[in-house]
Amino acid sequence: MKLEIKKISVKTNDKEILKDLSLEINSGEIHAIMGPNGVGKSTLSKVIMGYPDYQIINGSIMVDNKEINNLEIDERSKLGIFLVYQNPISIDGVTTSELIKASMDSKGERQGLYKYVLELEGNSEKLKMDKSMLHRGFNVSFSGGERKKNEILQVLMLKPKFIILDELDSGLDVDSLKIVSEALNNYLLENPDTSVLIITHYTRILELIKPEFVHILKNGHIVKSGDYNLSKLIEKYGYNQSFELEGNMNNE
Amino acid sequence: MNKIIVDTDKLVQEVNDDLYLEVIESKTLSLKIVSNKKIKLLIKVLNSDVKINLELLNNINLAINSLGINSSISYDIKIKDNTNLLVVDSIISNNDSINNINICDDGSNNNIEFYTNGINLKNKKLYFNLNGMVSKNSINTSLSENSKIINVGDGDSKIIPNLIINTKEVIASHSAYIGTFKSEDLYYLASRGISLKYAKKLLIKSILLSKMTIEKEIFTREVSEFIGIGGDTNE
Repeated sequence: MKLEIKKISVKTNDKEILKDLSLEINSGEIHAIMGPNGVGKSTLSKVIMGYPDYQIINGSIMVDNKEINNLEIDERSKLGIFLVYQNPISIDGVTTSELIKASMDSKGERQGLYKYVLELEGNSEKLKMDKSMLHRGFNVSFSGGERKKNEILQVLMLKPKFIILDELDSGLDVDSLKIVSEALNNYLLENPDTSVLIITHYTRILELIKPEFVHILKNGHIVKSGDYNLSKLIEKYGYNQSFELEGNMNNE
Repeated sequence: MNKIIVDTDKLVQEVNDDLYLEVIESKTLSLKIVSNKKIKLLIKVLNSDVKINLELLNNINLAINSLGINSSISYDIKIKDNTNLLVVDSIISNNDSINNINICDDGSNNNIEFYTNGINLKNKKLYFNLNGMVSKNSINTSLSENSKIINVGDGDSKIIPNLIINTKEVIASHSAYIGTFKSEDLYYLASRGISLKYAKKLLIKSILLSKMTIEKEIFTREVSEFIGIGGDTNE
């Protein structure tokens, strides 16, 4: 899936959060957005997903050359956009299995219960999830890491074409991060047209899911883009010093 | 679990084993729970207004799950000593539903938890009037009342939680919430492709059933059929 963000400005509660932001992610590409706290990274993920609390005052979001500014959240999901949440909700009384089945049904991917359960259990094994979790309340009494695995389980089941990973590594221990990264990398190998936008503070996840493009977000717009090496520079010197160093290197 | 379909004006029953009551037309149930028992009581009320008088003798571990569909369920509960009582009472209604709940603790070492959950579907009344009374004879009692109502339409919903405490040695609390669905929950479900209408159905099921502990699949089936879960997810 190709996603283009063309000079969007976004406000919420009368405050402008994103300003003239442009980004183009082609089919099969992996991009990372980095930046310190409060620069609009998570806002960007919710704007792409269509949260009504965020108003696009200028610009457009295009998916495969069609504007989606006015599409509801569920319609964007049905196009194949999937947000892996930083803090997924829990719903007691509705099981994980039931919620994923409802999602698949709503996308017209109805399948027999037996086949569905086999696929669900197979994918949960890939993520080293206890099968009993599938039949408990959605995310109820799950640890932070288990919730993130539950998010990736939905990726494997719903087969999205554009995945936004919002701080996937927060709340995940090293082993769990490796497990979910491996599952995602395998998914991307099997679905090479799927695009990914990684939103992160840290470079740890970028070593496991390697982006071709890295962008730095500051004050609501992208101030710097580069390849994977840009993230290594940030890891070593931090955001502010990286800009200075790169400026000096260019001058030399 | 023994099942009794109650369609008389009045039922008087001594309870000494787990019991499932399906109430269709009854007006009053008077249940005496005998001493030294661990009992589960499942009560389903359809299109009726029911008053349940519960007399608990001593040393009882009693769990009650009650579900009212287009109904009112009122409780009058008297408790003696050394009792654990957990009540989860859920109401979903298209009609007026006035639920008066009186709990009277008159003994020692009792632990009482009462959850009332309501879904007000239309522009009608849904009231939970809760009175938790702890007498001066009570020692070492713990009493909590927890109520939640979701207004799906523009209904008149009220929770009036009273704690009337006549002793110094008690732990008592209440919580009450009336409102709509959390937008965060609706957006999450929408981000999974689920329509707003179907997302609300899933959340209604969650609110009504989440605290239930007894033979959960019976009420799950009942609620799912009533609100139409399992049908068209795109409606």
